[in-house]
This record gives sequence, C-alpha cells and structure tokens, in this order.
Amino acid sequence: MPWKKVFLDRLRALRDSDAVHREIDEEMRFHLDMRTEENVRKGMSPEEARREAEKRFGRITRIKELGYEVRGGGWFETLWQDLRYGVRMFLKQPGFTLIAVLTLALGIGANTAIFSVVNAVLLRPLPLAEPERVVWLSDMLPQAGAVPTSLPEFLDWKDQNQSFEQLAAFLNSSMFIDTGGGTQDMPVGLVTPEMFALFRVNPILGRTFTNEETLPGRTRVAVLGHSMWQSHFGSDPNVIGKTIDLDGVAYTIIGVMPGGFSFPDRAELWRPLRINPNALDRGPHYLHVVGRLKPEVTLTQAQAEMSTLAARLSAQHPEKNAGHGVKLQLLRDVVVGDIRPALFILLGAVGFVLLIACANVANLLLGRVGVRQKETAVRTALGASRLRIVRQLFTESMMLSIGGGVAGLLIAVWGVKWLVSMGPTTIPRVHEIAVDPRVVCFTLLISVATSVIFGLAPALQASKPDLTDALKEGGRTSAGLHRNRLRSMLVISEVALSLVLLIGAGLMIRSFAKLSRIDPGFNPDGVLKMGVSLLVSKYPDDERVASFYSQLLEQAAATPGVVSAAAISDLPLFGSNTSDNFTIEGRPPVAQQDQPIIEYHIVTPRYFESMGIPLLAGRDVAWTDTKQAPNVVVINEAFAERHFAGESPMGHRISLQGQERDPLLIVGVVGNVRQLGLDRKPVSEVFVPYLQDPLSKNYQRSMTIVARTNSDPGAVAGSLRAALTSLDKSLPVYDLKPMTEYLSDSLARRRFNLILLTAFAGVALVLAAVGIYGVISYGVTQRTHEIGIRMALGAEKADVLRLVVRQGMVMALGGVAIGLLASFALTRLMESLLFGVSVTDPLTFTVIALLLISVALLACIVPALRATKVDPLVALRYE
Amino acid sequence: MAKKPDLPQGTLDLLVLKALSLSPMHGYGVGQRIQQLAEDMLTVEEGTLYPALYRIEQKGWIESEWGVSENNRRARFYKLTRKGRKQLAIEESQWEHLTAAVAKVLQAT
Repeated sequence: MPWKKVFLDRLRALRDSDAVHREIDEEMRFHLDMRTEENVRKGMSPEEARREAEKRFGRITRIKELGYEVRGGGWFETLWQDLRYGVRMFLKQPGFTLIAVLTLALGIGANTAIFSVVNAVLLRPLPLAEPERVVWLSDMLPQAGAVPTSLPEFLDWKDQNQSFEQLAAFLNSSMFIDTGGGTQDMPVGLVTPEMFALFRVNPILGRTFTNEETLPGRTRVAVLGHSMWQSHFGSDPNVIGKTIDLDGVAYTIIGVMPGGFSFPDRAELWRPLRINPNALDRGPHYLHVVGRLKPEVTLTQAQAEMSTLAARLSAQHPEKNAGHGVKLQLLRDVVVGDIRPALFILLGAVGFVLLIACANVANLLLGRVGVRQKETAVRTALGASRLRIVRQLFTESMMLSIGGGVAGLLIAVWGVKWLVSMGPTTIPRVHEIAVDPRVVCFTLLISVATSVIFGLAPALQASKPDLTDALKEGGRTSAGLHRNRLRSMLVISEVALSLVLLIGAGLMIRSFAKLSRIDPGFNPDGVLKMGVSLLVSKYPDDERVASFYSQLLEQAAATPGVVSAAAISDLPLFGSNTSDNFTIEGRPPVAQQDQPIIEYHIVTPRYFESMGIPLLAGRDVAWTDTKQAPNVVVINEAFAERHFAGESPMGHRISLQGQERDPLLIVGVVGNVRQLGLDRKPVSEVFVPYLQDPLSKNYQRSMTIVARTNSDPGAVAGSLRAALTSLDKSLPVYDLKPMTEYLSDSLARRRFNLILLTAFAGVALVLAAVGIYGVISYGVTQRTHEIGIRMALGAEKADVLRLVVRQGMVMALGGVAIGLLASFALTRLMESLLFGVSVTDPLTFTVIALLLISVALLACIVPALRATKVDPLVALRYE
Repeated sequence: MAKKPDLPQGTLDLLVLKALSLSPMHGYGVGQRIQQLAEDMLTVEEGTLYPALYRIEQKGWIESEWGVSENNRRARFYKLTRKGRKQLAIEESQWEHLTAAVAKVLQAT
C-alpha cells in the first residue's frame, strides 16, 4: 500500500475534515442527480425519479461514513481525537497528572539507569572484533586454583597448540612518565607482539612490535595509545622515532594505536614483554594469557586440547609443573567477573519498583474510573462501542507512560552520571556506562509495557459499567465495591513487593554493618598511606635504592606529628599480590602440588608498629637483616596456628619455592590482618625484611609507605609529602590518603550496591504508603454517607477510627504476609552479596515487617482522622 | 422475476478495475458500465461502489481527479494506474481459475 498517499490523505483529513466530507457529499450528490435525470428520461415523475435513485443508492449516511473512514478518518483520526481528549483531561487535573507521571518517571528512570549499567557491563560486546572467539587462559594449580601462568608454560602453549590463531601474553603495569611539570602514573601494557593481531587492531602510525624486540638487550621501544598521543604529543604526525621518558628511561616510539583500543586495563602505552630464552623459570606465575580461537574451533574443543597439553607438560616437568591444568574462559566473562549477580539483583529490585509504580498509577486511574463512570456511561449510551472506550482509556494510559518515559529518561541520564561518578572503579567497564540508543529503546519498551500493565485493569473496569446504575445520580453500588476490591489487591501487592525490597536492603545493611565492625587486624586511625616508586634512571642499583628507602623512612619519622613510619610491598584488604608454596624444615617431604600456600610481603622495620598490628612473639624485622645476615621471617598467627599447632613456631625454618640462600628462620609472630578483604578469613602470611627479600635478586622499587601520626592525619599529609619530595623532587608520590579512607575504599562496591538497593527500597516504601493512603482516603470519601449514619446512630469517634484503620491494616497485613513468603523464596538469590547474615535472618525480617506495618498504620491514620471529623448532618445531605 | 444474485465478496474490486480499464470514468459511470456489461444480470447497491472506489484508490490501483462530466457538471473521475492494470490481470486469471474449478465441482454427478 502506498503509505505516503494514505498518510497524506489522513493528515489532510485531520487538518480539514470538512473538505473531505464536502468532496464525498458532492460526489454522491452527482451520482444521485445523474440517476434521477436518467429516471426522468425513462418517464418517471421528478419525485418518483429521486426516490428511486435514493433507493438504489442504499443507506446514504452509512455509506458516507464508510467512505470517510477510508478516505479521511480511520484509526488515525480516532487516535487524534483520543489524544486531544486525553490532553484536555490531563490539563483539567494537573495534580493527578503530575503525580502519575512523576511516579512512572521514577520507576522508569531507575530501570533505565540500572539497565544502562547492565547494558554496558553485561550486554554490550567487548569493543573488539569477534569477542566470542577471544579466550582467557589461566594455569590451574591444585592448591591455588586459577592463577596467571609462567613464561615457559606460555611459550609451550603457544608453540604446541592447534586451537588458537594467536596466543598472547601480557602484564598490567604502570610506569611514571615525565611530563615536564612532574611525574605522572600511567597504566602500561607489557605485551607479546601477537597481542595487536589478536585484537585485530592496526596502528594508525608506524608499526607494532617484532618478535626480535622481545629479546633482552634490544632498543627500548614503545607503542602509544591514541589519547596519549593526543595529550602528550599534540597528535604529532611525526611522532615516530621520537623518544618518551618512562621511569626515567628513554623509549623510542614506533607506533600509534587507533582510539578505543586500551587493553589491558585502560593501557595507553605498550612495551614489548621481555622474553629471555636463557632464563626461563617455571616457578613464578605472573603472566596473563589471551588467545583467539580458530574459526572452526569451539571453546570446549580448545579446552580439551589445552588440558591434554597441560597434562603432557606436567609429565615433562614434574618438579615445577606437576598437577598443573589449564582453564579457558571467554574474555568477556573474565572482564565482567563477579559483578553479574549484583547487577541482576539490582535489576530485579528496580523491576519491583516499577511494578509498584504501576500499581500506584493503576490505583489512581481506578479512582478516576469512579469519577468518570458517568461520562463513560453517557458515551456508551450514545453508541460508543466497548472497544472504542477501552481504546481511548489505553491511549490515555499510553500518554501518561510516554510522559513518564521521557521524564524517566531525563532522570536516567542524570542518574547514570551520578552512578558513574560515585560508582567504584572496581565495577568493570564503568567508563563505558552511558545512555545509548539501546537504552533508549529499552525505556520506550518498558514505557509501553508499563502502560499496558497499569492501564489494563482500569480500562476493563471502565468499559463495563452498569449503565442504569451509573446514570442514576450518585450510583455507588456493586460496581464500586468490586473496584475497591481490585484496588485493595493492588495495594496488597505493592506492600508485598516493597517488603521484599526492604528485606533485601535490610539484609545488605546488616551485612555492611557486620563488615564495618570486622577488625581488619590493624588500627587505621591516624595512619597515612602513600605509594612511592623509585625511577631506574636515578636509582640504578640496589645500594642506592636501599639507602634511599632508609633515608626516606627516617625523614618521614622525623616529620612533626609522625610517630613511626615504615614500608610494605602490598597493603592488606585488596587481595593477593605474591603467593608462594613453602616447606617446613624437618617435616616429611611433600609433593610440590600439595605444598601449602602463603602470602608473601616485604616489610621494613616498624611496619607492624606503624599499622598497629600486635607483635605476639619474638621480634620485628630489623635493618640488620640483610643479604649477608641469615634469612629471617615473621609469620602471622594464622600461619602459626595452621602449621605449628600446639608448639612454638619460633626457631623453625621454612623454605619458599624459588627463594635464594638459606631457609628462613622464624623470628616473630604477628596478629592476623584481613589480607584478601574484610569479608575473607585471614590466610597464612609471611613478612620478610626489606633488605633480604629472598624471592628477588633486587630490592623493591615500588613500596607503600605507612605513617602513624599522633594527630589528624589530614593535617600531617602535606608536610609529610613535602618532607619526602625534599629528598628527591622528581619522586613520584601517589595515592596519599588516610588509612581509614583506604579501609572504606575496600568496601566501595558493597557500599554502592547497598546505597542503590536501599534507595530503591525507600522509593518502594514511599510508593506503597502513598498507595495505602490513596485507597483508604478514597474509601473514606466514598463512605462519608455511611460514616455519617453511623455517627448519627451514636458511633464514637474511636469506633470510626477503628473502622477505617482496620480496613487499611487488613490490606497491609495481607501484603506483609505475602511479602514475607516471597522474601523467604527470593533472598536466597542474594546470598553472594551478604556477609555474616543468614538469607532468612529473623531479626531483619521482623524489624522490616514491623517498619512496614507502622508506615502503613500512619498512612491509614491520616484519612481515618479525617473520617472522625465527618459532620453527620453534612454527610447525610452530601450527595 | 428471479432474485438477482448478490456479488460474491471481493469481486466488486475486479469489476471496478475491469470497468475502468476501458476508459477513465466517474463513479456513476462505473456503476452504469458494470450494469451494462453484466446485461442487468447483477444488482449492485450503488452506494457501496464509493467506499470500494476509495479503498482501491488507497491501494494505488486507481487514481482520481476532479473533471467535468458529459452534462457539464463537476465530477470525480477515476482512472486505472499501471499498478492497477497489473492487478486486473492477476485478478482476472484468479477469477477464471476459480470459476473453472467451481464449475468442475458442480458438473460432477
């Protein structure tokens, strides 16, 4: 059908329906005149001729209507009429309209905002070619599970597999770049040359790495990311061949990547991963590996092949590789990680909020059905079909929800901005979150779905009014009662839904409270932390590194307000940094794959004192524990309990895998800290002296400094930084913050989930209260007459109060009962988000149920009090 | 007099297209022509012609414009479009197929 012509015709009819009617009239009059003339020619009298012509023509009014339906009006005009009528209705009742649109906007906006997050994190494919073929490979260790792999294993995988087009290894790192005005920390990817081909990206300038450039002793080269090229080199087209200063060493720029490529982890700069074929050690596991599957190979096939390969490698290198397997996962799943359940819970929660919003608007509309009953009855009596009336009411619902959708989209745009700004950086892909076309489609879709949900009940209600009843003055009989039942049911569902949300939020709040009360194992009050990193150019050898750190700590401790200062390789709470297996001297030998695992840290003297970690036995590490002195180690309580139950660990010696020199003599035991996070049990840990560091030939250049102050750490921060940079102006000092802030950062993602879920539950509570209030106060208005009679017959105010409140509380209690049942079934789903609280925690369930009942009571009492003020005389006259 | 048969559903479109295939014509003329061609064997409620004409026009098979009739009155003239001519051919062959099939069934003894 030529839709354009049809559309133009319809539009013309809308603009000037009279003209269309006139044309049709004229055409038919012409027909009748012609027929009449013909009849006259045949010998009829003019009157007879006309009559005969009209008879042959048929029912002229109906035919004109039919013609107009085709030529002009049709559904288009009906819609237009309904829209205009709807706008008039809404403008006449601005309060109603505003509340309905705002309620919907809240529901739709919250849904859109959370969907934007889900969309960016879970739905939108990774920004790379054929992401479904890009796989993440980890080593599977019998003790530690999935871990990065070792360089020789990676090379074996690469050379011996049949499943992958490319296999590439990389490391996340960060380097300091000299910007002229100071040093700046930059994420850097250390990658093998295959990485770029694997991700199907080509440089826009220059080239990427060659295999040659991974060998030791070659020129230092780097590839720039697009935004780095813009910000640091002003998009210089002749940048190739220039040098860039990283950690104080010059690198030659050989290529520039296109925008949008920043793997791994927002890297803006890439260096070749060094591969020294003469120093391949299967001990240290630190390399991440990704691969692109060949087109015909499935993930399962690749997994099978790699497992066989791993088994073969285990057999070839039993001393280091025994029991090692390989685990393949889609890169997408690794990137998204463990946020999936939390997001689905939030999505479910906003879904509930939207349902509650729908119920509220449906309630408002049902309230209006009563008001509009007469109007509908009149229209029906005048011949409007039931379908016609339903259609008109649906048009109105649709207008409300589209209004709500547009307002909701605005809320969402604002909400997403807020989410991204306050969202923890630990949310993967957080910088990709945005309101994109897909999100807008989603909003549109839920707006339409919403209008169907909340519009259905009122429309069906309204379309079958009892005609005679409604037309009678003030008819409020059986139909009204039925409608009230429907409204009560809506309110009951609202209460039930919000109870589920509130219980969910309550459980999260309890978890959070429990976590916040967990003793991290150290005392964060008054402690400052900061990262420090020494540039290779300034501190090329171990002596200089070591002497600088001891100087630095002296300077820090001498700063006014600082009580003690020390350094550690990695602070607690954010997971494992270095772990290793070990054996205890004098114990029966254990196969390597069965050896226990410990967390390994390098500390300077006074670290435990500065952090407030108690020294339970023995001594702290000392500056005299050097590479010349016997190796010593301080262990934590968990280690002591697990491996030296019932005896003193002091004086025993342990050997770490891959360590240098003699076994480590245990000289001290310290209290446990929550190394892997507040929500994880303490694990076995060892602390080695900075100057010994038996796992490494060189001293650590990057350390975290902790300084205990005797006053406000914020006040000391500035002078501490000044004191440190006075030793070396170019010293990069970063992440300077109070330890309390660091501690609360470790709960950032939980706090994020908590705030969102609590906000949704709060909105749900308010909506449910409004719903109860609306129905009860409508009920009071309707029953004014009855209440008047009761009072005239001697009912006390208290009786009336009880009457009204009872009606509301029946609904509230019904909703609470259903909600409790639903919560028992649903809170299981959020188990992974909870800590230290059972999913059916009786306290939470009780408190929340009571809270909701009190709010419901409050929502009933206001209209109930109004009911007690009814003047019987006025009420009886009131019609 | 035997009652003249009503038109089967959908055949009116075919007749209108056929009538207009001879020359452009106003609505009254279309009715007249169908009657003539059918040699008065069919009866069409004349009014129903108009909604049919509008519908066919919306389908793009015919188009209309105001013109002057044989007795010098303003009248709306309809004419077949290229698309309409194609449609006529399709409907004619369908109709022949259908009647042949129905005839075959009815001839069975």
